[in-house]
Amino acid sequence: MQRLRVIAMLLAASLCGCTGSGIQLFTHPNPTSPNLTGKTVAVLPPMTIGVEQGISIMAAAALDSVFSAPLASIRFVPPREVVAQASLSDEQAAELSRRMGVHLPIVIEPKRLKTRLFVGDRVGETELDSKVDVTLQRDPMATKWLSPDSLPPELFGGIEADYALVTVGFSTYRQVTRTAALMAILPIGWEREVSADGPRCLFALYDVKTGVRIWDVIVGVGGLMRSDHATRYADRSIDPRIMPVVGAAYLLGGDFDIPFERALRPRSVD
Amino acid sequence: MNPRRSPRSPDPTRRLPAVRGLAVLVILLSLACQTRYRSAVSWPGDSVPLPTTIASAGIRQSASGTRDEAASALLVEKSGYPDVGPALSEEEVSKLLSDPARLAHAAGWRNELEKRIGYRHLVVGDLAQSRVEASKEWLALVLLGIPAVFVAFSIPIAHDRRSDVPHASLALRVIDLATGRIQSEFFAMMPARSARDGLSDHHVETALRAMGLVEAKR
Repeated sequence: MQRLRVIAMLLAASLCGCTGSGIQLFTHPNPTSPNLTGKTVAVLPPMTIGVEQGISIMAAAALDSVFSAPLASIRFVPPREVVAQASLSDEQAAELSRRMGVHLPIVIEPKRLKTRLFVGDRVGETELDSKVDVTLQRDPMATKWLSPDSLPPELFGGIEADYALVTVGFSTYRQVTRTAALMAILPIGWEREVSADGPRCLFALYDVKTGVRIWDVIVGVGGLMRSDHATRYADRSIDPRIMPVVGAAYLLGGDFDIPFERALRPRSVD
Repeated sequence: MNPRRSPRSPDPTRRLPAVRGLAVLVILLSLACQTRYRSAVSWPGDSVPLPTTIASAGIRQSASGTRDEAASALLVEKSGYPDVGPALSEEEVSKLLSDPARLAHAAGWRNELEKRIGYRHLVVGDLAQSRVEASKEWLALVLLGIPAVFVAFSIPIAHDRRSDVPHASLALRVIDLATGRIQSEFFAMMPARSARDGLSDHHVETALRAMGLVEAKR
């Protein structure tokens, strides 16, 4: 019976795929963090590429929490304050979304250069459901810019800040058609599955006065999200859709625990 | 006749590994022979409690930019929400389906709309075409029977990859007009023919159930 159980486990693992308990963040390209010490960064509400808004919905909430206070001597203006301050017409808001709707690479794989950002079951005062292991992978060879080189400064709505952080949430999907063949020769069945890649966001930093881009990066969560994962994550304290925002805050401020804790804090309901 | 077994006949207990191996082979074949199409990928939205008073703004056909009357009627029927879709222009529905940034900046329009229709929360849908990266794989099932151990494993071999393969997608979301926040979203990839053939009862029921807008049927 023991042997049968082992075989069944091997079989299940090979057919269904294994999922780890850690969170693998990755960046593309491999950005050098800008020096923002003493500067003010206005964090704009997130935009979306494509029709799915789920990642941007969660990013919007995470941006408000993570950038609610300074990080490493960088002052941030969170999205809800930006919306209150900015005088942006609907046409200008639509134009900003249109310009940022760039065609992003659909397949981005996590690369080498792994850094461990966090291990533990408690972050600050917040206790996690279980031990969490967060790593960051960077591709040392990737250098290509992904966002527009510049934006008309009027699209920032006259906000009082040195820089504007633009966030664009997007999702990519993969369809895999598998033909199972016994001993690689005899076809005996097939399956077709559509899976979502882990959530990812493009972050771009623009000079508010000149509209020139000074930094950009895609931060994503590695692995595939199948339909059953959504239900599973709903019951957990860490929704993977907040993690790109935490990763971006780490790249900008150099600290992971503070933005991670802020992102996990319960939010008030309007 | 000698009732005793010949000393050369096999011991029944020695046949056990072979029987087990055969059983595993049967299980493996029955698993592999299932033909499946798993396409829906749904995400719950923000985990804030959803309101009880919601109106339906209908479902838009993204390709034409017009209201899908059949799908909108289905949404009203399955949800039981009042239909305010006819009171909205195509441009307004398009704005409702825009991203969080655009919704956030449109406070004046949202307030005016809320007053006009008399509801703070709207459910609105979009039947669109989305593209996926498609690949094909041979899944080589390898069975190795060695004494006392039976090993089965699979080796995926990719042999074709294409970009931008069209699929249909359904997005259904609840929007709070007072704050501009998208409170919940259901998103599902579906076979491309769903965009042509229209939505079924099952699609709408699944979406509403996933968002917690209707109780699951028991």
